[in-house]
Amino acid sequence: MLLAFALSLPAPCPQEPPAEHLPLRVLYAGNAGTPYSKAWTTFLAAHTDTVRAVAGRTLQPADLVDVDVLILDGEVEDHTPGGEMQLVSEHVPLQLRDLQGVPVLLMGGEGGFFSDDNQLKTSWRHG
Amino acid sequence: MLRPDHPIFRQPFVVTPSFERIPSPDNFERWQPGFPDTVETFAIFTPRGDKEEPGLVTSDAGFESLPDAELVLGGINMKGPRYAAVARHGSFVMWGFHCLPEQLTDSGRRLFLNSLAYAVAHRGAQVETLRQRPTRDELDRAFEVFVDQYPAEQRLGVLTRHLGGEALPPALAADAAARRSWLAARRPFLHPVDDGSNWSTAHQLAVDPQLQQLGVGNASLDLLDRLAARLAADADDQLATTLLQRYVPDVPPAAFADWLRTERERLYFTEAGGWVWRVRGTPASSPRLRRVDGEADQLLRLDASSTESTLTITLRVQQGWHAWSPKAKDQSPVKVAVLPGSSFVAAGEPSFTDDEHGMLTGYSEIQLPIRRTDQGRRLRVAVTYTLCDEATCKPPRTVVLER
Repeated sequence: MLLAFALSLPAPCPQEPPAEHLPLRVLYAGNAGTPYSKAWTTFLAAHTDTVRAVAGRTLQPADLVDVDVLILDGEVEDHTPGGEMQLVSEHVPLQLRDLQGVPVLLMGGEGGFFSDDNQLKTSWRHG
Repeated sequence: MLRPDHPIFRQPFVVTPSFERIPSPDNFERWQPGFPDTVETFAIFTPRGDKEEPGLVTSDAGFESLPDAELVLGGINMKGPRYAAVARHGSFVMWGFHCLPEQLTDSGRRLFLNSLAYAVAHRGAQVETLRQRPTRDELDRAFEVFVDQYPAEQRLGVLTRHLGGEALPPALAADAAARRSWLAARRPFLHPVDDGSNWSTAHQLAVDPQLQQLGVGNASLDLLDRLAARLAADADDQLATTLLQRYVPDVPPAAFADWLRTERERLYFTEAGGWVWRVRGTPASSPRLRRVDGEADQLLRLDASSTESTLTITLRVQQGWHAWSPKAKDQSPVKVAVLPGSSFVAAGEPSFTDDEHGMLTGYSEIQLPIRRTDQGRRLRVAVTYTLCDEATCKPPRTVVLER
């Protein structure tokens, strides 16, 4: 399940802020309050109209109102200092029937967990 | 696996990757014998060090058997060269690369934003089939690729994990040609040995003797025509009604001929989705149950799903707390009841993954045999539990779940 696509190129040079912008309202459901989630919501805010963040484990159907796309994200491993590295899941309470036809981007470990729980073809279990 | 002509490379932002060829990972050749020594790649993100978290790829086996799903691009991974890191299923787009946004290259950033837009472009697209059962593609890989990665003395055991129902000839362990011809003779008539409730056989296929008797494969539309003809001649034809129940379970025999005539152009056979014939455009039915009564418990996460024969309840109890199975004496065990109004009833006693004292801690499962009583799929269950720590027990709680 490890991936990376040709990691041998040099780091990109510092450049102007990217001009790419999507006229979208994004709901980001990830790990609450982590530097990882903060980095992604900041990035998304720079490239979309609006970004709202919720903890994946609290996600409810009502959160999807006035949203163009949902991102389900989460770090793969537990980074508790001194803690054993292990897979962690937000256990997103929404199910496939809640999200049929809703634009969703599945990212990171949480994308895999959600896919596994709902037996999507993008499942981690089949990776 | 790379599809540079896919719209995700052009819309809304043009991705102009700097391709380069790098040595192929060793596992690509193991996964796909004959894979070239080099592979064309481009950088999605720039690594920070040795401790990158793994990303996610998913198997291509059977992925595009129905156009509700498509593969877009793969990546350097520990599995096979056709495994996908970016793919779509219905309105869900998978972005399997794991990094911080500042690590993205220009191409990676645009590709990520295009993936987001691609999901939005598929608003309304339905997931029609799930990945629930083993497929012939997976069996082919076991027979053609994986088996030779094991010592000769283990190969029959490896093959048996994928193919049951009969003893495998010892010659199959060493003779690839014999394996191919042996499998080819059986391939059209294969089906899963059970409904997937038993982990030890959940990935096993076997020859369907009734299908073999009829002489036509389950993925052929000819099967449906033959069943319709037999039922027209004899509405109680045992072979036809048995196969109809197995491969077209949602359609009663009396309605089958009309259904076949009406839906013929939209029919497809899905292996991963349950080895059944279905109608295009029908959303997938999830086996998961949803909590409809009872408040969320901070100390316990409770999930439920069901196959045709087994209801599975999973408990995740917070550290320091536990529940009990009936094995524990003088305790309040977890109780599971199938409620009236369901299309199923309990068909036996539940089994628990408990310890020797009947304690349920951390992750545990309860499996209850069930039996269908009518054509529907409604299943409504009540789970009653009492959580205890070393000193005290909480009042009992009941959660109702249904699908």
